[in-house]
Amino acid sequence: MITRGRNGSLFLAALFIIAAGFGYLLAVQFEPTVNKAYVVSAQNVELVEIMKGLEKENDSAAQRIVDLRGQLGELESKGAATSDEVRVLTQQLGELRAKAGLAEATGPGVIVTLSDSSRTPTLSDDPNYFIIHDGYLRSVVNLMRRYGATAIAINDQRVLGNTPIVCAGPIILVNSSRMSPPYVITALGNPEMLADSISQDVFFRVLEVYRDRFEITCSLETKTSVTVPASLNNAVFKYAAGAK
Amino acid sequence: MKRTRQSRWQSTILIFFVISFFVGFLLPGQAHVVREMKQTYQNQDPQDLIRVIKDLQQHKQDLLVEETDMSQKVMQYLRSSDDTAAQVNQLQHEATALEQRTGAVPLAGPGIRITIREQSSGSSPSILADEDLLLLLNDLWASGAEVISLNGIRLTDSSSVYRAGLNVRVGDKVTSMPLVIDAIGDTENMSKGLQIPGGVLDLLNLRRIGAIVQKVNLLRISN
Repeated sequence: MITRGRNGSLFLAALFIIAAGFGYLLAVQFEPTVNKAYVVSAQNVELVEIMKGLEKENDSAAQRIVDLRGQLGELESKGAATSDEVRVLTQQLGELRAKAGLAEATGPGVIVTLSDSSRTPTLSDDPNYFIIHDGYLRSVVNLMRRYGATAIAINDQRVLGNTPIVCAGPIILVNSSRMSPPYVITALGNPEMLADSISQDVFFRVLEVYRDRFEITCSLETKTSVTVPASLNNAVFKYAAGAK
Repeated sequence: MKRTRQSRWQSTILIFFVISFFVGFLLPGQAHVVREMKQTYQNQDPQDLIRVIKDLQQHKQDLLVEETDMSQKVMQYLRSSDDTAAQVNQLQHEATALEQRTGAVPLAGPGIRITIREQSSGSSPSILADEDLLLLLNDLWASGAEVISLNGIRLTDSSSVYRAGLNVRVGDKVTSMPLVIDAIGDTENMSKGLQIPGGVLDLLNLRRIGAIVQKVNLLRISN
Protein backbone atom coordinates (compact mmCIF):
# COMPACT_ATOMS: atom_id res chain seq x y z
CA MET A 1 0.00 0.00 0.00
CA ILE A 2 2.69 2.41 1.10
CA THR A 3 4.72 1.44 -1.94
CA ARG A 4 1.75 1.95 -4.25
CA GLY A 5 0.99 5.29 -2.56
CA ARG A 6 4.56 6.54 -2.97
CA ASN A 7 4.74 5.24 -6.53
CA GLY A 8 1.39 6.85 -7.28
CA SER A 9 2.58 10.22 -6.00
CA LEU A 10 5.77 9.93 -7.95
CA PHE A 11 3.82 8.99 -11.04
CA LEU A 12 1.45 11.93 -10.62
CA ALA A 13 4.39 14.27 -10.09
CA ALA A 14 6.01 12.92 -13.23
CA LEU A 15 2.70 13.29 -15.08
CA PHE A 16 2.42 16.87 -13.86
CA ILE A 17 5.96 17.68 -15.02
CA ILE A 18 5.39 16.02 -18.40
CA ALA A 19 2.05 17.76 -18.90
CA ALA A 20 3.50 21.10 -17.83
CA GLY A 21 6.46 20.51 -20.16
CA PHE A 22 4.14 19.78 -23.05
CA GLY A 23 2.06 22.80 -22.21
CA TYR A 24 5.15 24.98 -22.10
CA LEU A 25 6.44 23.56 -25.38
CA LEU A 26 3.10 24.11 -27.04
CA ALA A 27 2.86 27.64 -25.71
CA VAL A 28 6.38 28.42 -26.92
CA GLN A 29 5.63 26.95 -30.29
CA PHE A 30 2.28 28.65 -30.78
CA GLU A 31 3.00 32.03 -29.28
CA PRO A 32 5.57 33.46 -31.70
CA THR A 33 3.90 31.79 -34.67
CA VAL A 34 0.47 33.12 -33.90
CA ASN A 35 1.73 36.60 -33.06
CA LYS A 36 3.94 36.71 -36.14
CA ALA A 37 1.11 35.43 -38.33
CA TYR A 38 -1.16 38.28 -37.28
CA VAL A 39 1.47 41.02 -37.33
CA VAL A 40 3.23 39.98 -40.53
CA SER A 41 0.01 39.31 -42.41
CA ALA A 42 -1.32 42.72 -41.56
CA GLN A 43 1.96 44.30 -42.69
CA ASN A 44 2.24 42.25 -45.82
CA VAL A 45 -1.23 42.36 -47.31
CA GLU A 46 -0.58 45.79 -48.81
CA LEU A 47 2.89 44.81 -50.05
CA VAL A 48 1.51 41.71 -51.76
CA GLU A 49 -1.21 43.79 -53.41
CA ILE A 50 1.40 46.27 -54.69
CA MET A 51 3.55 43.38 -55.94
CA LYS A 52 0.67 41.73 -57.79
CA GLY A 53 -0.41 45.08 -59.27
CA LEU A 54 3.10 45.72 -60.61
CA GLU A 55 3.29 42.20 -62.03
CA LYS A 56 0.01 42.75 -63.85
CA GLU A 57 1.21 46.08 -65.26
CA ASN A 58 4.51 44.53 -66.36
CA ASP A 59 2.73 41.61 -68.02
CA SER A 60 0.57 44.04 -69.99
CA ALA A 61 3.63 46.10 -70.99
CA ALA A 62 5.43 42.91 -72.07
CA GLN A 63 2.49 41.94 -74.28
CA ARG A 64 2.41 45.44 -75.85
CA ILE A 65 6.15 45.14 -76.62
CA VAL A 66 5.61 41.74 -78.27
CA ASP A 67 2.79 43.25 -80.39
CA LEU A 68 4.91 46.28 -81.36
CA ARG A 69 7.82 44.03 -82.34
CA GLY A 70 5.46 42.02 -84.55
CA GLN A 71 4.17 45.23 -86.13
CA LEU A 72 7.71 46.51 -86.76
CA GLY A 73 8.72 43.16 -88.24
CA GLU A 74 5.87 43.39 -90.76
CA LEU A 75 6.82 46.95 -91.71
CA GLU A 76 10.46 45.97 -92.15
CA SER A 77 9.49 43.04 -94.37
CA LYS A 78 7.47 45.38 -96.57
CA GLY A 79 10.36 47.88 -96.65
CA ALA A 80 12.83 45.13 -97.56
CA ALA A 81 10.88 44.47 -100.73
CA THR A 82 11.38 48.05 -101.95
CA SER A 83 15.19 48.29 -101.93
CA ASP A 84 18.19 45.95 -101.92
CA GLU A 85 20.00 48.11 -99.39
CA VAL A 86 17.05 48.00 -96.99
CA ARG A 87 16.71 44.25 -97.55
CA VAL A 88 20.38 43.57 -96.69
CA LEU A 89 20.26 45.85 -93.64
CA THR A 90 16.98 44.27 -92.45
CA GLN A 91 18.56 40.83 -92.73
CA GLN A 92 21.65 41.95 -90.79
CA LEU A 93 19.45 43.53 -88.15
CA GLY A 94 17.48 40.29 -87.81
CA GLU A 95 20.72 38.39 -87.18
CA LEU A 96 21.87 40.96 -84.64
CA ARG A 97 18.52 40.84 -82.83
CA ALA A 98 18.74 37.05 -82.68
CA LYS A 99 22.30 37.29 -81.33
CA ALA A 100 21.17 39.81 -78.72
CA GLY A 101 18.40 37.46 -77.59
CA LEU A 102 15.64 39.75 -78.85
CA ALA A 103 14.05 37.05 -80.99
CA GLU A 104 12.41 33.78 -80.03
CA ALA A 105 14.67 30.82 -80.81
CA THR A 106 13.69 27.25 -81.65
CA GLY A 107 15.84 24.18 -82.24
CA PRO A 108 17.19 21.00 -80.70
CA GLY A 109 18.40 21.20 -77.14
CA VAL A 110 18.10 19.99 -73.58
CA ILE A 111 15.88 20.63 -70.60
CA VAL A 112 17.08 20.48 -67.00
CA THR A 113 14.30 20.42 -64.43
CA LEU A 114 14.95 21.22 -60.78
CA SER A 115 12.41 21.32 -58.00
CA ASP A 116 12.26 21.41 -54.21
CA SER A 117 11.95 18.15 -52.35
CA SER A 118 8.47 16.83 -51.71
CA ARG A 119 9.75 15.27 -48.49
CA THR A 120 9.47 17.25 -45.27
CA PRO A 121 12.84 17.60 -43.53
CA THR A 122 12.96 16.08 -40.07
CA LEU A 123 14.44 17.94 -37.11
CA SER A 124 17.82 16.34 -37.73
CA ASP A 125 17.87 17.32 -41.44
CA ASP A 126 19.35 20.52 -42.81
CA PRO A 127 16.40 22.03 -44.74
CA ASN A 128 18.81 23.80 -47.12
CA TYR A 129 19.35 20.52 -48.92
CA PHE A 130 15.63 20.19 -49.63
CA ILE A 131 15.19 23.35 -51.68
CA ILE A 132 16.54 24.68 -54.97
CA HIS A 133 18.65 27.79 -54.43
CA ASP A 134 19.27 30.65 -56.85
CA GLY A 135 22.93 29.58 -56.94
CA TYR A 136 21.93 26.21 -58.41
CA LEU A 137 20.16 27.97 -61.29
CA ARG A 138 23.19 30.20 -61.94
CA SER A 139 25.49 27.18 -61.95
CA VAL A 140 23.28 25.18 -64.32
CA VAL A 141 23.02 28.14 -66.72
CA ASN A 142 26.82 28.52 -66.56
CA LEU A 143 27.23 24.80 -67.32
CA MET A 144 24.92 25.08 -70.31
CA ARG A 145 26.94 28.00 -71.70
CA ARG A 146 30.18 26.12 -71.02
CA TYR A 147 29.03 23.16 -73.08
CA GLY A 148 27.78 25.15 -76.04
CA ALA A 149 24.22 26.36 -75.40
CA THR A 150 23.26 29.13 -77.80
CA ALA A 151 20.10 30.33 -76.03
CA ILE A 152 18.79 29.69 -72.51
CA ALA A 153 15.54 30.25 -70.65
CA ILE A 154 14.33 29.56 -67.12
CA ASN A 155 10.60 28.82 -67.12
CA ASP A 156 9.24 31.50 -69.44
CA GLN A 157 12.12 33.97 -69.04
CA ARG A 158 15.03 34.34 -71.46
CA VAL A 159 18.38 34.36 -69.69
CA LEU A 160 21.02 36.57 -71.30
CA GLY A 161 24.60 37.14 -70.15
CA ASN A 162 23.52 40.13 -68.08
CA THR A 163 20.38 38.56 -66.59
CA PRO A 164 20.72 38.40 -62.82
CA ILE A 165 19.18 35.43 -61.03
CA VAL A 166 18.50 36.72 -57.56
CA CYS A 167 16.66 35.65 -54.46
CA ALA A 168 14.64 37.67 -52.00
CA GLY A 169 14.23 35.24 -49.11
CA PRO A 170 12.59 32.16 -50.57
CA ILE A 171 11.56 33.95 -53.79
CA ILE A 172 13.78 33.53 -56.88
CA LEU A 173 13.58 36.30 -59.46
CA VAL A 174 14.65 36.10 -63.09
CA ASN A 175 14.05 39.25 -65.15
CA SER A 176 12.07 40.46 -62.13
CA SER A 177 9.63 37.56 -62.59
CA ARG A 178 8.90 35.41 -59.58
CA MET A 179 9.89 31.87 -60.38
CA SER A 180 8.01 28.96 -58.90
CA PRO A 181 9.31 25.42 -58.83
CA PRO A 182 9.69 23.36 -60.91
CA TYR A 183 12.47 25.40 -62.52
CA VAL A 184 12.60 24.31 -66.15
CA ILE A 185 15.92 25.40 -67.66
CA THR A 186 15.85 25.10 -71.43
CA ALA A 187 18.94 25.35 -73.61
CA LEU A 188 19.33 25.31 -77.37
CA GLY A 189 22.35 23.47 -78.70
CA ASN A 190 23.63 20.03 -79.64
CA PRO A 191 21.44 17.82 -77.41
CA GLU A 192 23.82 14.86 -77.11
CA MET A 193 26.87 16.98 -76.44
CA LEU A 194 25.05 19.15 -73.90
CA ALA A 195 23.48 16.16 -72.12
CA ASP A 196 26.70 14.15 -71.98
CA SER A 197 28.81 17.04 -70.74
CA ILE A 198 26.29 18.35 -68.21
CA SER A 199 25.57 14.90 -66.76
CA GLN A 200 29.28 14.27 -66.25
CA ASP A 201 29.99 17.61 -64.60
CA VAL A 202 30.73 17.52 -60.87
CA PHE A 203 28.11 20.13 -60.04
CA PHE A 204 25.34 18.19 -61.76
CA ARG A 205 26.46 14.99 -60.05
CA VAL A 206 26.19 16.73 -56.69
CA LEU A 207 22.60 17.68 -57.58
CA GLU A 208 21.93 14.04 -58.42
CA VAL A 209 23.25 13.03 -55.00
CA TYR A 210 20.84 15.54 -53.42
CA ARG A 211 18.07 14.03 -55.57
CA ASP A 212 18.82 10.52 -54.30
CA ARG A 213 19.30 11.55 -50.70
CA PHE A 214 16.89 14.44 -50.15
CA GLU A 215 14.39 13.77 -52.97
CA ILE A 216 14.75 17.05 -54.83
CA THR A 217 13.84 16.85 -58.51
CA CYS A 218 16.83 16.91 -60.86
CA SER A 219 16.38 15.62 -64.39
CA LEU A 220 18.05 16.12 -67.75
CA GLU A 221 16.33 15.37 -71.06
CA THR A 222 17.38 15.76 -74.68
CA LYS A 223 14.80 17.25 -77.03
CA THR A 224 14.58 17.43 -80.80
CA SER A 225 12.90 20.82 -80.52
CA VAL A 226 12.73 23.39 -77.76
CA THR A 227 11.74 27.04 -77.84
CA VAL A 228 13.13 29.87 -75.75
CA PRO A 229 11.27 33.19 -75.68
CA ALA A 230 12.71 36.53 -76.77
CA SER A 231 14.14 38.83 -74.13
CA LEU A 232 12.14 41.97 -73.45
CA ASN A 233 15.13 43.74 -71.98
CA ASN A 234 16.59 45.95 -74.67
CA ALA A 235 17.35 49.07 -72.66
CA VAL A 236 19.90 51.31 -74.32
CA PHE A 237 23.15 51.66 -72.35
CA LYS A 238 23.10 54.72 -70.11
CA TYR A 239 26.74 54.65 -69.05
CA ALA A 240 28.64 52.68 -71.72
CA ALA A 241 29.30 54.39 -75.04
CA GLY A 242 31.25 53.40 -78.12
CA ALA A 243 35.00 53.83 -77.57
CA LYS A 244 37.53 54.73 -80.21
CA MET B 1 -11.22 -0.65 -2.21
CA LYS B 2 -8.35 -2.23 -4.03
CA ARG B 3 -10.47 -2.49 -7.17
CA THR B 4 -11.47 1.20 -6.89
CA ARG B 5 -7.83 2.26 -6.61
CA GLN B 6 -6.91 0.07 -9.54
CA SER B 7 -9.74 1.57 -11.54
CA ARG B 8 -8.62 5.11 -10.64
CA TRP B 9 -5.09 4.19 -11.57
CA GLN B 10 -6.23 2.86 -14.93
CA SER B 11 -8.26 6.03 -15.51
CA THR B 12 -5.18 8.14 -14.78
CA ILE B 13 -3.12 6.14 -17.25
CA LEU B 14 -5.92 6.40 -19.79
CA ILE B 15 -6.13 10.19 -19.36
CA PHE B 16 -2.36 10.43 -19.66
CA PHE B 17 -2.52 8.34 -22.83
CA VAL B 18 -5.26 10.53 -24.30
CA ILE B 19 -3.34 13.74 -23.47
CA SER B 20 -0.12 12.37 -24.97
CA PHE B 21 -1.95 11.20 -28.05
CA PHE B 22 -3.65 14.57 -28.43
CA VAL B 23 -0.37 16.49 -28.08
CA GLY B 24 1.37 14.10 -30.46
CA PHE B 25 -1.51 14.60 -32.89
CA LEU B 26 -1.33 18.39 -32.66
CA LEU B 27 2.39 18.82 -33.15
CA PRO B 28 2.70 17.63 -36.78
CA GLY B 29 -0.47 19.57 -37.61
CA GLN B 30 1.11 22.67 -36.15
CA ALA B 31 4.33 22.04 -38.10
CA HIS B 32 2.25 21.67 -41.26
CA VAL B 33 0.46 24.96 -40.62
CA VAL B 34 3.80 26.72 -40.05
CA ARG B 35 5.17 25.26 -43.29
CA GLU B 36 2.07 26.30 -45.25
CA MET B 37 2.27 29.80 -43.79
CA LYS B 38 5.87 30.14 -44.86
CA GLN B 39 4.86 29.30 -48.42
CA THR B 40 2.24 32.04 -48.53
CA TYR B 41 3.49 35.39 -49.74
CA GLN B 42 1.48 37.18 -47.04
CA ASN B 43 3.78 35.55 -44.52
CA GLN B 44 7.11 36.37 -46.15
CA ASP B 45 9.57 38.68 -44.52
CA PRO B 46 8.43 42.23 -45.47
CA GLN B 47 12.04 43.07 -46.43
CA ASP B 48 11.93 40.34 -49.08
CA LEU B 49 8.66 41.65 -50.46
CA ILE B 50 10.04 45.19 -50.55
CA ARG B 51 13.04 43.92 -52.50
CA VAL B 52 10.74 42.17 -55.00
CA ILE B 53 8.68 45.36 -55.36
CA LYS B 54 11.79 47.48 -56.01
CA ASP B 55 12.90 44.96 -58.61
CA LEU B 56 9.47 45.05 -60.27
CA GLN B 57 9.48 48.86 -60.29
CA GLN B 58 12.87 48.88 -62.02
CA HIS B 59 11.60 46.30 -64.49
CA LYS B 60 8.54 48.46 -65.15
CA GLN B 61 10.85 51.36 -66.04
CA ASP B 62 12.89 49.14 -68.38
CA LEU B 63 9.75 47.86 -70.08
CA LEU B 64 8.44 51.41 -70.45
CA VAL B 65 11.71 52.45 -72.13
CA GLU B 66 11.51 49.49 -74.51
CA GLU B 67 7.83 50.11 -75.28
CA THR B 68 8.46 53.80 -76.00
CA ASP B 69 11.44 52.92 -78.17
CA MET B 70 9.43 50.34 -80.13
CA SER B 71 6.51 52.75 -80.60
CA GLN B 72 8.89 55.40 -81.96
CA LYS B 73 10.45 52.90 -84.36
CA VAL B 74 7.04 51.85 -85.66
CA MET B 75 6.03 55.51 -86.09
CA GLN B 76 9.29 56.38 -87.85
CA TYR B 77 8.93 53.41 -90.16
CA LEU B 78 5.35 54.37 -90.98
CA ARG B 79 6.44 57.95 -91.70
CA SER B 80 9.36 56.82 -93.86
CA SER B 81 7.53 54.13 -95.82
CA ASP B 82 8.39 55.89 -99.11
CA ASP B 83 11.77 57.23 -97.98
CA THR B 84 14.50 54.60 -98.46
CA ALA B 85 17.24 56.85 -97.05
CA ALA B 86 15.27 57.36 -93.83
CA GLN B 87 14.66 53.62 -93.53
CA VAL B 88 18.36 52.89 -94.03
CA ASN B 89 19.22 55.47 -91.39
CA GLN B 90 16.81 53.93 -88.89
CA LEU B 91 18.07 50.39 -89.50
CA GLN B 92 21.72 51.47 -89.20
CA HIS B 93 21.00 53.30 -85.96
CA GLU B 94 19.49 50.17 -84.37
CA ALA B 95 22.28 47.97 -85.75
CA THR B 96 24.89 50.21 -84.07
CA ALA B 97 23.10 49.93 -80.70
CA LEU B 98 22.88 46.15 -81.05
CA GLU B 99 26.55 45.83 -81.99
CA GLN B 100 27.38 47.58 -78.72
CA ARG B 101 25.21 45.16 -76.77
CA THR B 102 26.53 42.01 -78.42
CA GLY B 103 30.16 42.89 -77.83
CA ALA B 104 31.09 43.72 -81.42
CA VAL B 105 32.53 47.15 -80.60
CA PRO B 106 34.71 48.47 -77.75
CA LEU B 107 32.91 50.48 -75.07
CA ALA B 108 33.94 53.05 -72.50
CA GLY B 109 32.32 54.66 -69.50
CA PRO B 110 32.41 55.13 -65.74
CA GLY B 111 32.46 52.08 -63.55
CA ILE B 112 34.18 50.08 -60.87
CA ARG B 113 37.24 47.87 -60.87
CA ILE B 114 37.43 44.92 -58.48
CA THR B 115 40.77 43.26 -57.95
CA ILE B 116 40.60 39.78 -56.47
CA ARG B 117 43.62 38.06 -54.99
CA GLU B 118 43.76 34.58 -53.55
CA GLN B 119 46.07 33.71 -50.68
CA SER B 120 48.23 30.98 -52.08
CA SER B 121 50.65 30.95 -49.15
CA GLY B 122 50.11 29.27 -45.79
CA SER B 123 48.88 25.87 -44.81
CA SER B 124 45.33 26.41 -46.09
CA PRO B 125 45.33 28.51 -49.26
CA SER B 126 42.11 30.40 -50.10
CA ILE B 127 40.77 29.64 -53.54
CA LEU B 128 38.06 31.54 -55.37
CA ALA B 129 35.33 29.01 -56.27
CA ASP B 130 33.16 29.04 -59.39
CA GLU B 131 30.11 29.85 -57.25
CA ASP B 132 31.87 32.89 -55.68
CA LEU B 133 32.71 34.27 -59.08
CA LEU B 134 29.20 33.65 -60.45
CA LEU B 135 27.69 35.33 -57.39
CA LEU B 136 29.98 38.34 -57.73
CA LEU B 137 29.14 38.78 -61.43
CA ASN B 138 25.44 38.24 -60.70
CA ASP B 139 25.49 40.96 -58.03
CA LEU B 140 27.19 43.33 -60.45
CA TRP B 141 24.55 42.75 -63.13
CA ALA B 142 21.79 43.07 -60.51
CA SER B 143 23.13 46.41 -59.30
CA GLY B 144 23.42 48.11 -62.66
CA ALA B 145 26.46 46.84 -64.59
CA GLU B 146 26.08 47.27 -68.36
CA VAL B 147 29.32 45.68 -69.54
CA ILE B 148 31.79 43.50 -67.64
CA SER B 149 35.25 42.19 -68.44
CA LEU B 150 37.50 39.77 -66.58
CA ASN B 151 41.19 40.53 -67.06
CA GLY B 152 40.19 42.36 -70.23
CA ILE B 153 37.99 39.56 -71.61
CA ARG B 154 34.50 40.90 -72.20
CA LEU B 155 31.55 38.80 -71.05
CA THR B 156 28.91 38.10 -73.69
CA ASP B 157 25.63 36.17 -73.66
CA SER B 158 27.48 32.93 -74.35
CA SER B 159 30.34 33.41 -71.86
CA SER B 160 30.73 30.77 -69.21
CA VAL B 161 33.07 31.46 -66.30
CA TYR B 162 34.77 28.75 -64.28
CA ARG B 163 37.99 27.71 -62.65
CA ALA B 164 40.33 25.48 -64.58
CA GLY B 165 42.93 24.51 -62.02
CA LEU B 166 44.55 27.72 -60.82
CA ASN B 167 43.40 29.56 -63.94
CA VAL B 168 40.04 31.07 -64.81
CA ARG B 169 38.30 30.22 -68.08
CA VAL B 170 36.11 32.87 -69.63
CA GLY B 171 34.36 31.25 -72.59
CA ASP B 172 37.12 29.81 -74.72
CA LYS B 173 39.84 32.06 -73.25
CA VAL B 174 42.08 31.33 -70.28
CA THR B 175 43.31 33.90 -67.80
CA SER B 176 45.00 33.71 -64.42
CA MET B 177 44.74 35.21 -60.94
CA PRO B 178 44.76 37.94 -59.71
CA LEU B 179 41.48 38.73 -61.37
CA VAL B 180 40.68 42.28 -62.39
CA ILE B 181 36.96 42.72 -63.02
CA ASP B 182 35.94 45.92 -64.81
CA ALA B 183 32.27 46.84 -64.82
CA ILE B 184 30.87 49.87 -66.65
CA GLY B 185 27.57 51.09 -65.25
CA ASP B 186 25.97 52.80 -62.30
CA THR B 187 29.09 53.26 -60.16
CA GLU B 188 27.33 54.15 -56.90
CA ASN B 189 24.78 51.39 -57.14
CA MET B 190 27.31 48.72 -58.08
CA SER B 191 29.60 49.75 -55.26
CA LYS B 192 26.76 49.67 -52.74
CA GLY B 193 25.40 46.41 -54.15
CA LEU B 194 28.68 44.63 -53.56
CA GLN B 195 29.29 46.03 -50.12
CA ILE B 196 25.99 45.29 -48.41
CA PRO B 197 26.56 43.51 -45.09
CA GLY B 198 26.56 39.76 -45.64
CA GLY B 199 27.05 40.29 -49.36
CA VAL B 200 29.55 38.77 -51.71
CA LEU B 201 32.53 40.86 -50.53
CA ASP B 202 31.93 39.84 -46.91
CA LEU B 203 31.77 36.25 -48.08
CA LEU B 204 35.10 36.57 -49.89
CA ASN B 205 36.74 38.31 -46.94
CA LEU B 206 35.60 35.59 -44.57
CA ARG B 207 37.34 33.11 -46.81
CA ARG B 208 40.50 35.24 -46.85
CA ILE B 209 40.13 36.18 -50.51
CA GLY B 210 41.14 39.79 -50.97
CA ALA B 211 38.78 41.99 -52.98
CA ILE B 212 39.52 45.67 -53.55
CA VAL B 213 36.83 47.86 -55.11
CA GLN B 214 37.81 51.11 -56.83
CA LYS B 215 35.61 53.64 -58.60
CA VAL B 216 37.00 54.58 -62.00
CA ASN B 217 35.90 57.58 -64.05
CA LEU B 218 36.59 56.00 -67.39
CA LEU B 219 36.95 52.31 -68.05
CA ARG B 220 37.50 50.87 -71.51
CA ILE B 221 36.31 47.38 -72.39
CA SER B 222 37.36 46.03 -75.73
CA ASN B 223 35.32 43.73 -77.94
